[in-house]
Amino acid sequence: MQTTQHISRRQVLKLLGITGASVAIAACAPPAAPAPATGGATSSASTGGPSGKVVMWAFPLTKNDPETIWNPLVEKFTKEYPNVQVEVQMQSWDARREKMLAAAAAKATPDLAYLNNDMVFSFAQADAIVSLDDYLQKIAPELAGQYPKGMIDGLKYSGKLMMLPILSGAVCGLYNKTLYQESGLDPTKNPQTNDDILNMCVEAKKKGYYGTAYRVNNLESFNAYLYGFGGRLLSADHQTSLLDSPESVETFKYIVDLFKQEYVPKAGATAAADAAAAAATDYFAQQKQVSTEYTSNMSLIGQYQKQVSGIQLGVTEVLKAKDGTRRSTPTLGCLGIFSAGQNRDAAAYWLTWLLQPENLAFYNTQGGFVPPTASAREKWEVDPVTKEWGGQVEHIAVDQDIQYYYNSNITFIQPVLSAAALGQMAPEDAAKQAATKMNDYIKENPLK
Amino acid sequence: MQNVTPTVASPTIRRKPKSWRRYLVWYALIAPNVILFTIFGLLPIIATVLISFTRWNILGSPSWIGLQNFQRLLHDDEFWTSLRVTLVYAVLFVLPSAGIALGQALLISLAGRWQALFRTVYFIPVVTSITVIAMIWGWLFLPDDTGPLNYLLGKFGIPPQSWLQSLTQALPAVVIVAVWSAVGYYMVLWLSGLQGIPQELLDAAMVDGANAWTRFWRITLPLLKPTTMFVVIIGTINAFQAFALFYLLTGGGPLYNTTTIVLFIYKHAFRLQEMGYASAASMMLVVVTIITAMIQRRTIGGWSDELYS
Repeated sequence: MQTTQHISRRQVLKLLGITGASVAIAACAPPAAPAPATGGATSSASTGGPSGKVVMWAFPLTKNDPETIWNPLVEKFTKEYPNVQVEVQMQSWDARREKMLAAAAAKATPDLAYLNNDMVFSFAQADAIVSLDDYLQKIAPELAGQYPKGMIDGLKYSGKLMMLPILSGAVCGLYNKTLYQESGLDPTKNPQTNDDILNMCVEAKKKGYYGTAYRVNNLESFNAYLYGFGGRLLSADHQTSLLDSPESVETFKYIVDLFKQEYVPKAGATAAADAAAAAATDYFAQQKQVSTEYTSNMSLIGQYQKQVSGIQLGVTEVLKAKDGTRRSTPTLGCLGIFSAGQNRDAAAYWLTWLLQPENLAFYNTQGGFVPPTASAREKWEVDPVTKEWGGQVEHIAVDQDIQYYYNSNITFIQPVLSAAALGQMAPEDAAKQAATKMNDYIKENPLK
Repeated sequence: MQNVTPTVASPTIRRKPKSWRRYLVWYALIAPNVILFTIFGLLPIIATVLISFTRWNILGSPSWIGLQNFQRLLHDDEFWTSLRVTLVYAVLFVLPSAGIALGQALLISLAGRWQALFRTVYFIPVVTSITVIAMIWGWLFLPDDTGPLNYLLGKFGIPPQSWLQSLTQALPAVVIVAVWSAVGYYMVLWLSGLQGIPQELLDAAMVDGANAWTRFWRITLPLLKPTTMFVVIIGTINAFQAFALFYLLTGGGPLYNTTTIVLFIYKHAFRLQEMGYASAASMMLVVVTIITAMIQRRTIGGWSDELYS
């Protein structure tokens, strides 16, 4: 006898309701409680060491970071800490800042991530990242002492260390020694001051070359010249913009003159996104431009060595101010642990292990940046040009310019500098307007 | 003899289900969509409205400041400039896009067996990455002698133009790129509209001696009015949301001359971390979009209703 079981509409609805409710409950349930931060204590397995899964966000430095950097490092770490599974998730550089802010706001962060030094203040103020002090004290008490004091001080919030650098770099440029010599300049003597850069441009133009490049949305480049004139972005108490200071006005005039005299490609006067601008106007690769713009992007060395066969590169160093001092906007790629991380204790082990000299040297050798500690730099194996650029890290300075409102500056500099470069505004007015807008912004967004 | 007791089938009493029960299955079926819309559409809209009354830097806690963000917007020259740029862009983008796309659709509808090929060719820019488009056009628009467009102009004795570096040419230059990249999409919409026109009407008109122009003007165009409304409203909404091309090609410059309202919102939300202020600007954009759509519906929509009355 065949029995057919009919399911009534009511039963179907019940089933749907139960399924829906289960899904909703599952979706709304809070995530597993994060491992308690026990002042650096580990999530202990039976062995007493760290355990569990650690998720890290990293950003690519090479064409295939997992293969060239992360797999070897994770493999080595796992041998030492077999109870920890590290998952390095590669993120795109595009919209990095937006992505990090959104993730931190939603508390959807990994355990730790690559963060730049300009995020210390806002992330620490919002308790998005945790202090590393206790972890370091328990796991690697000697680690922080290996970094230059100025660098470490800039990564503190309310006296607590919030991040530690994994890579560093100074803002420099490259020059083509052949074109430099063709322009009548001594290729062994690289430009040292703003005047030297200008002189290089004058001589290059006589030979039909662009002297250098400038993009109005590149704050690093603006700072290179501003510091070259001895200026600053913010007052020491970080309450007032100094974009209308005499040094800043001089910087605006200097940059406008670069465009006016056609020492730099005109395309840089508009703030197109990096990729579009670079593809359109890379006259350095076409050997029509003597030097690159000032940048922290050290990967340009390898890029041009590969792209232009036989190119002889020199480094345009951090520019010297009239008082003989040099200062560079720092590029500090750091590691920080998120307060919303699920396994912060094991993450601290991974972080401190990564920053040991040998691993730091490996990471930077593969990635083309500079190890931030002297002990790691001894093990750093790179070509002479990279080494020369790397030597400039001694000039990096972390102070109020970088710690507060740093990224906001370019938002206000860019449109007016662009207008001035196109001859639509006097450089003095542009500087004044940028400072006014920046001061309005500081008033609207006071620091706690 | 078997005693058979006649049984009388008792009539099934079917109670009329309560109205909400009757529709319960349908509610269950639309529930996934409603839930997803609520989570990803409605809640963010409500959140934006609430955030617009706060000062919030994304990471900290928002603080309630009432209408201050809206008051600040009213006095912000950059906001009004971005609104003006957006409106001008909408006009410059929608009319040529719709017109050129209609022309293309008409020509393609005559292309017989080559129709699929032309349709594909014209549609390629629509599916091309916006970054690639920006890189190619950024190169074409190079302001000096090396720019391909300037090179071509030079052949006709026209001096090199500044294009994206010019206060007056930057916006039209971006419009050219936007129209070029979007026209294929609108062409497909027009084409589907054209395919809905009964051939008998056109044949009858032809028999009556109507020439091609008269047939287009008196039959095709009036019957395309619903498509016209759709194309214009969708085009306008897309124009109001313009961001990527401006971000990639000009970054909003020179001197805010290509700063659209979405670029303005993005800058304040993510560059300056002023989420409250950016949300207030978003609310203003919603209001402008609704007003514009209502005006368009009244003009083109009325025009379309007439047809079927």
